[in-house]
Amino acid sequence: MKKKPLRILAIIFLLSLAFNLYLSFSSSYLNNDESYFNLRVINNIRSTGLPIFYDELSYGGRALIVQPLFYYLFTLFSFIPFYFKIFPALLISSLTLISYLIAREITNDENSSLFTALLAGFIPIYSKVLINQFSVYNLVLPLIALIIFCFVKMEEKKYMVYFIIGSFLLALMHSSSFLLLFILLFYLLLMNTENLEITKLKKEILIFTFFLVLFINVLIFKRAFLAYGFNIIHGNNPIHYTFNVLQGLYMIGIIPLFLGIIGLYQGFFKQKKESIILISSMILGVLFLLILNLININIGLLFLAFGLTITSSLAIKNFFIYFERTKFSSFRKLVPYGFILLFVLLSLIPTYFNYNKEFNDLSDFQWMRENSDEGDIILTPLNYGHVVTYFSRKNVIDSNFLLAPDPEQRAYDVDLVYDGWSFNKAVELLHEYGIKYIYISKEVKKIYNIEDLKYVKDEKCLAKVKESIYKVVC
Amino acid sequence: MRNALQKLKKAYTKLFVKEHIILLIGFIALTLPYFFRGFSLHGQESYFYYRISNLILGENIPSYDFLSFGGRAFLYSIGSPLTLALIKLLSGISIETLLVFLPLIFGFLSLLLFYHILKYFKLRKNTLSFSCYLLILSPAFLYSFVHFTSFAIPLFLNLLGFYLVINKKKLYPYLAFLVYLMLSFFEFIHVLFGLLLIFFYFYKIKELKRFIPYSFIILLTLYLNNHFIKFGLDIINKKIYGYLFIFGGEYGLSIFLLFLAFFGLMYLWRRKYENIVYYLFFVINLFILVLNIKYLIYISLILSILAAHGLKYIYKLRWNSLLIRDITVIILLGGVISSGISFLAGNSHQDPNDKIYNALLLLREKTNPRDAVLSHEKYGIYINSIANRKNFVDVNKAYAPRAELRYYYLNKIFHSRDLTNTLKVFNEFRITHILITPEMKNGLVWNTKNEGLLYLLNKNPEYFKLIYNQGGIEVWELT
Repeated sequence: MKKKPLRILAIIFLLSLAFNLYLSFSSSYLNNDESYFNLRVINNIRSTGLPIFYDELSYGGRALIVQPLFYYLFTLFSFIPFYFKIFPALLISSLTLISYLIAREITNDENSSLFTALLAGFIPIYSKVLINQFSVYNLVLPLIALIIFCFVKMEEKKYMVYFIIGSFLLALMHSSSFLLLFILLFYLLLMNTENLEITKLKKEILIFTFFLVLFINVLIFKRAFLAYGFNIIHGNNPIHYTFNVLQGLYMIGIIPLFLGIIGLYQGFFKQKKESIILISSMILGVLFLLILNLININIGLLFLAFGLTITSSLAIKNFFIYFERTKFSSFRKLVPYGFILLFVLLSLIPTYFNYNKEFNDLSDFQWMRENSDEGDIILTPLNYGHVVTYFSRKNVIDSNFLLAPDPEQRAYDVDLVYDGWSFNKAVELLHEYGIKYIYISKEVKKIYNIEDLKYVKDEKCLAKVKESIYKVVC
Repeated sequence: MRNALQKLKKAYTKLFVKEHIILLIGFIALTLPYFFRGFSLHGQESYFYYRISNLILGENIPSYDFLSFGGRAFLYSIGSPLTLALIKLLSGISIETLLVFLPLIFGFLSLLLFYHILKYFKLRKNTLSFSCYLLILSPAFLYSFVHFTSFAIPLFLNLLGFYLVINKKKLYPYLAFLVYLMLSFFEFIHVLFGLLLIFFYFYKIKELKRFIPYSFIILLTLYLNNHFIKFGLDIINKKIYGYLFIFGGEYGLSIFLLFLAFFGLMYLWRRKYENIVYYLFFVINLFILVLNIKYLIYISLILSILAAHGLKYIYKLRWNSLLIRDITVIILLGGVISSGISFLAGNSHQDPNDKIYNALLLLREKTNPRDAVLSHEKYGIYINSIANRKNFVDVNKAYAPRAELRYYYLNKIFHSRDLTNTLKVFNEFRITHILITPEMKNGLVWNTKNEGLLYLLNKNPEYFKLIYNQGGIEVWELT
């Protein structure tokens, strides 16, 4: 690799890192309650050596299925202060490097690969799913990207080994390994429909990876398979995702969307490039899962955006070639500046403004930990569930739905307590779940669009012990 | 070093294809759960046959069963209980002992017959031994023989019958006919498999005439099972995941066995239409499986052979990387082995456990014979067999009186907080006691401690009295 592109790539990486770190450290809290669950598992590993297999605090006590690799990996780094902010930022920024490598394989062109790297560092959906979050997806997305890169370069033996190791690690890390299976299946399908030959080595690796990922997941999710059968694909999830198309497109980013589709068209239909077919398989795999409602919308958009960013590289390269042939070729030195301007306007700024702090103040949970008894159950909306358990108290519901007892009913009941009218029904539910405290902060009120609990008239049953906390006293 | 390893590999291969090693491993797999849970009755089917066999011993074949579903016509397949009763009469061994040890004996003999049938067809030693190992590890085979089930005797008879058919000795065809005659006393599917197998065998060896006497067995079966025609094939909606062990099918197939079998079909397909008889036989069997999930046991036999061929096929393919080949084979075998081990682990606990058994004994003491006990259908047979009392529902739904209505009420009772209506149903069906287990409270019926009937029981001491509470198992009495 030449020195100049390397320097530019390093600058892009550092820019992305600085951006992610700035946003992460702008809040003293993490941006997603699942991050707090991950922290709790790591704390448990540090104290006992094992992840949490039975969570006494979640849903009043329930079995958990934990894919251990992510947690053990970060336990190793947990002695570093703010590791849960620094490493996720590093991992998001690493996408610039990986996308550069893949783009270079696709285009064989430095400039377009560098622009792709720049785009990959700042995608609006990152603000929702990755930035300031200690999430497994911070590691899964770069890993899948690396696996794809290794698959493209499979003919070299070392990449074959990396591919196998990567697939193995992914299967031990997260159920997203099924996405990898879908990507590979669509790859097989597309290669066949386009009459392109798959090398024998790749066929063997595909068969092997399929069985490897399946075997590991069958072992890990055995209990869940037994409990839900085929319904496991819905993960016992009570949330029915709704999709706002315009917002979704905005989240992907205007540039990756526009250039990505053009690149996809050029690579797939005109050049029939194997590497583009592989990225197309990723996009198709994600779309397939999204259409069947089998994947969280934001996670789906994350993978979709990354795939389109990679295919953008081909459109960028072809644009430069085309520009050279036009009458405006004398302005070619200005083109990169124009591109950077567009990038700032359509990628950087939306990514920055798309970032919202989910938790502004969690001090009430600290108060409850100090002023309530161990084993007390605290009612919060679903997206605060893991925060409750992080502060060592029991919740009614959280987002670990797999093997959770009746989450659909619980989600319904929680909503009923917050925005219902009936005092009797609310008290019945509070007793049924043994709830001691109700958390109702400004953010919670915003979620339910309420001023306060509608049925509270006096403090005989529900005593207001803090501005945002009711204690159940009857 | 490499030579030494190859020698070691050869020695192990030789060892594992030996008949006595296969039988020994089969015997260990079958007896293993017994060592964990003890040599005693286990599982609903064992208790069901215990009661029915004793009933037959006491009053011949009764016309009415007073205990199941509160009382119903005696419409059960009588092959297994009749055999048990006959053996008891001939040998004097107690029914309980027979129910414990017969599955082991029949399982072992079935494996032996399976081995010799494959040997007769001159399968290569490796394929033969792998077929046997895959069968041993299949949940369906293990399910049939780690406790007494409705499959234990007919599966053995089927293999014995076929073994006698393929052997050329003089008396064997007569004995085979006798065996198939005995099969007609069992459920329809067993006869169907047996006759299909010999039909295709005779067709393959071009001696279809020999099938003619056996066709009369169909008539006899139809006569003996005329009241079962509707249920004989058990054409009931069964969700597809019941067919797979990983998705909770009690004796479902291992998905890795299915993958191996798929490769086995690819192996067969190398000779294209030369193997058309096998494809046809396979497709017909699949069709019957769709109609009746119990047919899984026979499909397992077929798939074990196919999968062994599949394993050979994968191994013989020209791989770029031998390491990848070896790991792929290990993963596939690991998947099959893990299903077998999971099944054995799941069946190593006594069912019903001591606590439930004691609660049922208490019910026997505290209730009178006309009382009915309400519980989940999973405990219905135990209520009949151990407590000797009427249940509200159990798993034998075929020909049960007002079964749909009962399940409708059961669902209502379990999840309703309406005391008046609940008491009304209790009165109508003469329910006097309720048996509740921790499993019912943890997802089988309820998810929270105050749900439906649990709320009523706790809030209405004037109507319900807790008379037994040990280790989460509760017996409530209607006062």
